[in-house]
Amino acid sequence: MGRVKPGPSSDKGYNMTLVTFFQQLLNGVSLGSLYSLLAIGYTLVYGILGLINFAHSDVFMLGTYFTFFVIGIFVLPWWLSVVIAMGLCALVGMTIERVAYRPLRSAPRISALITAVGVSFFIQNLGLVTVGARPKGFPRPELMENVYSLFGIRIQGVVVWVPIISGVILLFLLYIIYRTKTGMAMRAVAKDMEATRLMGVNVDRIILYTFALGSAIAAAGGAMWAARYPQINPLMGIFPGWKAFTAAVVGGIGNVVGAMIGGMIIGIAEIMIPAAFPGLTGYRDAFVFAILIGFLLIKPSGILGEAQKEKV
Amino acid sequence: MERKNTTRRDMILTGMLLVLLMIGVALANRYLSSYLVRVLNTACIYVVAAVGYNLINGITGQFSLGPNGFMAIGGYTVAILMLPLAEKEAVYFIYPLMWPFNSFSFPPSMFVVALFAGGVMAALAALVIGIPTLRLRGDYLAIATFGFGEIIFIIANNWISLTNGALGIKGIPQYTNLWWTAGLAFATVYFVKSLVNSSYGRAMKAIRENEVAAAAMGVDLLRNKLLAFVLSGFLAGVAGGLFVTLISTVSPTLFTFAMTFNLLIIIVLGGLGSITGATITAVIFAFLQEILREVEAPMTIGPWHLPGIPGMRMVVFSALLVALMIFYRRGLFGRWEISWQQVISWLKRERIQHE
Amino acid sequence: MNNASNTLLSLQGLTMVFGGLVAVNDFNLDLHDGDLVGLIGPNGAGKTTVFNMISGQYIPTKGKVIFDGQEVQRLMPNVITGLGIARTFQNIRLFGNLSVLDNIMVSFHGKLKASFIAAMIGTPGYLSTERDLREEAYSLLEAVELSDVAYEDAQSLPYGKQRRLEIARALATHPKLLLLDEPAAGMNPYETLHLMRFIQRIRKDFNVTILLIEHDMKVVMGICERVLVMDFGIQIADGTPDKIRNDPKVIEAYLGVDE
Repeated sequence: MGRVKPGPSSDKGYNMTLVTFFQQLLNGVSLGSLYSLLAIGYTLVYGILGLINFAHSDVFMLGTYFTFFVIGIFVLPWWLSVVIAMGLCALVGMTIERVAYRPLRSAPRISALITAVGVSFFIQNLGLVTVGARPKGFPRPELMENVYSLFGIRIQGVVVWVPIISGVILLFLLYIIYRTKTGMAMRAVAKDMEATRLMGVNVDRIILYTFALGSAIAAAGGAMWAARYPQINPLMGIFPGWKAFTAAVVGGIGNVVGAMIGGMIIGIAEIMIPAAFPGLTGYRDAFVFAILIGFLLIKPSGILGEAQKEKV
Repeated sequence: MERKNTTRRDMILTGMLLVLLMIGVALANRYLSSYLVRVLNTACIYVVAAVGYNLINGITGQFSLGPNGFMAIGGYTVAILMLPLAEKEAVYFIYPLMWPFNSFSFPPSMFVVALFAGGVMAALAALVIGIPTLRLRGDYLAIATFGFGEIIFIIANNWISLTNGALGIKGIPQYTNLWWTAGLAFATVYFVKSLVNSSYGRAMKAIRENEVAAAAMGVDLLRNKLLAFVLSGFLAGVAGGLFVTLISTVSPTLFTFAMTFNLLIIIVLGGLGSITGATITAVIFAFLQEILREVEAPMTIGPWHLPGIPGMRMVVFSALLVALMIFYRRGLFGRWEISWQQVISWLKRERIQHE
Repeated sequence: MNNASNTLLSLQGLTMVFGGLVAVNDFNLDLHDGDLVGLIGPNGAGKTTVFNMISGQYIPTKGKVIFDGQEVQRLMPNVITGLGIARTFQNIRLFGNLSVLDNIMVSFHGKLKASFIAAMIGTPGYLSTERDLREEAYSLLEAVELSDVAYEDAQSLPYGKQRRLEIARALATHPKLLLLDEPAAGMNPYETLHLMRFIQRIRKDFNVTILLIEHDMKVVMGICERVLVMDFGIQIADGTPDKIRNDPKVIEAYLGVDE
């Protein structure tokens, strides 16, 4: 889209050594796993309600703040604070669904979307008013500060642990969705809400559960995001959220595994492309946009998505 | 026969309204404080952008979050074209402005051309986003336009030889005045209203009501959605051009998502799909914003001293938006449109006092 | 029946597969100018899917739709409508917040010559086109006895009138072939009788060929000259109403569902 003046370092870009290549790749996987965590919340809600839950990115932001305050106030270990933040975000997610989205379930699609934007903006601005716009320094857990060495490649703790923890969470999620009764009900609601209701399933409860699950995972993602980028502010959710939704589209919206794959693609692309072309670093976020438009042009149903069809 | 006469009557009445508006502008310029004139200017710019935004969101029912990006494109285009050559050298001191823009500058008489160019550039951007997204069913437009605003922000920050980066462009001549803003607001309302009342408008509304049925009745979905989206982009571009020549500066942070959010509030409060509603609430909103600015300032009521809470406005507005959607989705005007016929029968009823 | 006349629509080996499910399998049909043919079968037999393939909502997995000598199965729905196929929907799909008159006028948009710029400016030429369209729509409403509700919102009409408006809106596209998807659904016996006369009348007045999906056997047996029966995506019978009534395969498919 835009042309850049070649920066002073742009000529170095093509000499990526194998070591830096692997470092960057791992870095991309680490970032990608966070996008995956966030993308799942979008894809779950979109699969069931056909709604882009714009507020999801702000729940992610709240996850970092909850972790931050729990660590600061109760002096709890990092991992326990994250678990508490996940619980709090689950509550927030359920509240949003109950208060803002449920009354609009039968309303025109655009009304629900506007509401979602409104809720998102509300949380952001409430954040600005209460904790202020100034970024806060997030205490990095020791685990993430360690530096490991693997075949002579020096790797930061964040880069190692974030994908591992994310992987465990994703496996747990897949277990819930594909191996538990509630997960089966979630998939059934996504397929045909009315039929599921007729089968005697409490659809409202399943939807609340979906929001709780997505929000809790977003909180975990938020806490790890803050370990990666330890400056937190009330608007920090916007771009990760948008990229994660793009990841969900790339993977095939509504498809959980697709969201994970999409997240990886976006994360790796975001790290690797500027690493290869340092002159374009400023345009990092624009690549994601280009990927989105590219997919919409060539394969709008995403990697794993089914072509959409409407009952006529 | 009778219909023909009402068309002529409506044209005459519209002409009279235009004259009234011109008198109003002349009086405002003469008697109102510069502060109030500025608020009126902002109000008229909001009218242009909101009526355009309503065309895609309210009339056609496709959720766009792009107006801030389009306004930025229009704003930068007008700024770069109109900035005098001497200023160009002074402003672009890090990197000189790229060719060919460093070699010319529009004279004041070509302001209208610059505004048009701003609209066209924004419309082209809308076309580029619209083609991949609008042929798909679903909310891809929303997600693409949401990202688009950010992309424009990134470009404005990074393409320094064109936009001067984060520093922005200062010293843009203040060509915008109430004649321009009110005139363009009037033209926008007139043209959009004609379009919406035409066969094209019916096709757009049909798409909003039921896409499958609209296609089955022979409506080309992509063409008509694109028409609405590109026109709304054009109007946003013009509004952006007016805005930067009103405040005489443009920078990447001028047209953030908050701008889109304001426009969204305006069209929802006015009643999604109502041009009348968008117009009236745009004006109300411009004033409301000024009033709420006062509320945010620290104040003392009797013995209590309340510290100012900057940003509280947006909290209130977003809560208002959600509440409107849940409890009062039709907004102030629903889908109601004012027409000369209604005005006349209303006036008659006042006079005759029967029925 | 006038088999001697032109073949208007020819479906050749039409097949639709969703995921692993074969909704319609190797469906064949020839319709001639002026035919009034019924398409019946139990729920889920694939009747509406056949309609969706003819009118372009679905692209068939296999097979051809030949209309007026032209292959149309890959064309967009609005293009197919422009060629002369119009349809109604099983679950009514009116433009609820538009007036009855506007609902009709939407159907004229596909053939509109005027540019959007003329419409935006409101040129005298455009305004006179608009007046003509309005008059045409109004006289169509008169023909279908809906002119008394011309300025009401479509969603405020009673059910029977909504069904009739759907048919009128389809007729406004000037079709050669009209696809009616369960027009009598939800109607009481009196309304159904009215509808039967209405269908026969529009067939004559508007000179259209009609393909009709219907569950109400009275309607199908009462007005169709030829009836096709589908079950599980396959055509199981084709013939005159009398022949269909006594076909053992049809009776089996309808076991217990027969009216």
